[in-house]
Amino acid sequence: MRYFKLYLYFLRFSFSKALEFRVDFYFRVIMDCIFYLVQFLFFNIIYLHTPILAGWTIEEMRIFVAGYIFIDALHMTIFANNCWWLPIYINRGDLDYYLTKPVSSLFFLSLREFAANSFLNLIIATGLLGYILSSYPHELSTIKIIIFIALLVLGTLLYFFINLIFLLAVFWTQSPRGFGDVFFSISHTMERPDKIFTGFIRILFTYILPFSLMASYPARFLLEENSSSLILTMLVVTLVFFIIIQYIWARGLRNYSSASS
Amino acid sequence: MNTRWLKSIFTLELRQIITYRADFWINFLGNISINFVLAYFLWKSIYTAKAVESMNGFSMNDIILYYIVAPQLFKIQQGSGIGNISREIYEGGLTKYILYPIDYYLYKIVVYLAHSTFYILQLFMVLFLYWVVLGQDHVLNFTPLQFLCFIFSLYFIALLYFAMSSTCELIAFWADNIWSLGVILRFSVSFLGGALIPLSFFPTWAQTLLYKTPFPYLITFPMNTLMKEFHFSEYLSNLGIIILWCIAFLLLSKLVWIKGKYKYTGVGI
Repeated sequence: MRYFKLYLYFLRFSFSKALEFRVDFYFRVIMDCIFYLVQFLFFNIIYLHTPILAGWTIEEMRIFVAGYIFIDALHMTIFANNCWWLPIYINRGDLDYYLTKPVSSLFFLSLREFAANSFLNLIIATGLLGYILSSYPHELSTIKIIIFIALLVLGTLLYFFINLIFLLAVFWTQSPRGFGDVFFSISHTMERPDKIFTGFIRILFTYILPFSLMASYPARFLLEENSSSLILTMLVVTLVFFIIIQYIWARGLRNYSSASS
Repeated sequence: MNTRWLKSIFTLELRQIITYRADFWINFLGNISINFVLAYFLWKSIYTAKAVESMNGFSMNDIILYYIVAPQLFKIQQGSGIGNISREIYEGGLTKYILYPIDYYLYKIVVYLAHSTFYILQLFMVLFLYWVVLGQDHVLNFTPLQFLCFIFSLYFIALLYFAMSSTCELIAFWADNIWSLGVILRFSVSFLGGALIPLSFFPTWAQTLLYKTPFPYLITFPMNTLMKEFHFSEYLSNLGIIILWCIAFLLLSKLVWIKGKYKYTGVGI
């Protein structure tokens, strides 16, 4: 309850801050809309050259695309700003202020800034997802749609955990951005259906760097028959990564010297 | 004009870029590997579904080369990245440059090109790695003149991107935060320039339309110079178009700078 109240304060501050920068607010909406458009156009162009990709038709692929757009919007709204600042605080030695607070420092640093200017994009992404689902030519059961959305939220958490792993490397590298660039490149894996991967790479992107789980598994759950095992896999992997994050954070803090790099 | 300061800034920037060596190697190798893996598996499934060896003039090997070089071209263009000029306007850091006895605009171009040069050196490593790992000599089948022209064109695409992005960044004199504008430009170049999908896969009407914009010249033109059959006259005419776009955007950028600097308060926000 204490954490919930604290989060409400974070929301209030973030909205007041966002409204101070109105031009940025509009630019961000346009930016994300262009990003969404590019994602759909990318697959539209590919489907001009092939009728099927990774076993999916273009209508099925659109559900997958809308799914990862939703994950991206949710991450941008809740976590992205915090992920931007976290390595900077560690690198500059500015973490002390947060470590002295009587709450979990990881909770505080992960959620303190809610991107109110991305919130409108989250609404647009949700609308887009709703539209794609409703225009799908075959029938989809309501319960499956609800679980699909819950899995997308789980996918967002997983995305955030992996992002943190790459950023927390800054505790040891002392560089300003950790391995944020590599994460940015690898994160594009989420935007590809998992079935295009084979062999070791498929195992890598399912269990070790589980980008394939985030949007592909929810879409597969929705579109395939007998797909309950996908839920279990996602739950277990997300939980494991949550534990890994706690461990890395604790080890990182032990390595933290407060000195600026 | 004393140009010694240009050289000093250039070398200083290069030194700064390679300060974090572990970061450099991990980011560099990580990026290449992931670009390779994503391109390989995506296009392999397309080629397999179609059961063809080549599509729109690209074999599977061509596609892989395309997708590991195109992101590097993207880095070369982006030089020192988004937000440098606007940050100085917002934080009041521009003041010191106005006081220095140097041309701010020229200073920014030199810093930008230092970063581009560094990424060009990385590109050599990318090509070398491709050659070592895949050994596809029929793909890396360019003449020395062709390669030289390719490298030469990279500085022009960097300059063109600088001109375009600096125009966007200078809007910071009026707007409160223009970071997203830089990202919009990046998305546009990435998709409309052909970094996400080679332009030859676009419908013909879209290709015709796109060649009336500067975007294809930022990615497709240097890629074609490296990978396709090389005709010097065609290269020169495309380079001429890039130079014209450069002049147009540099003039526009300069105009925005002249208008905008009178709005600058030096206070910072």
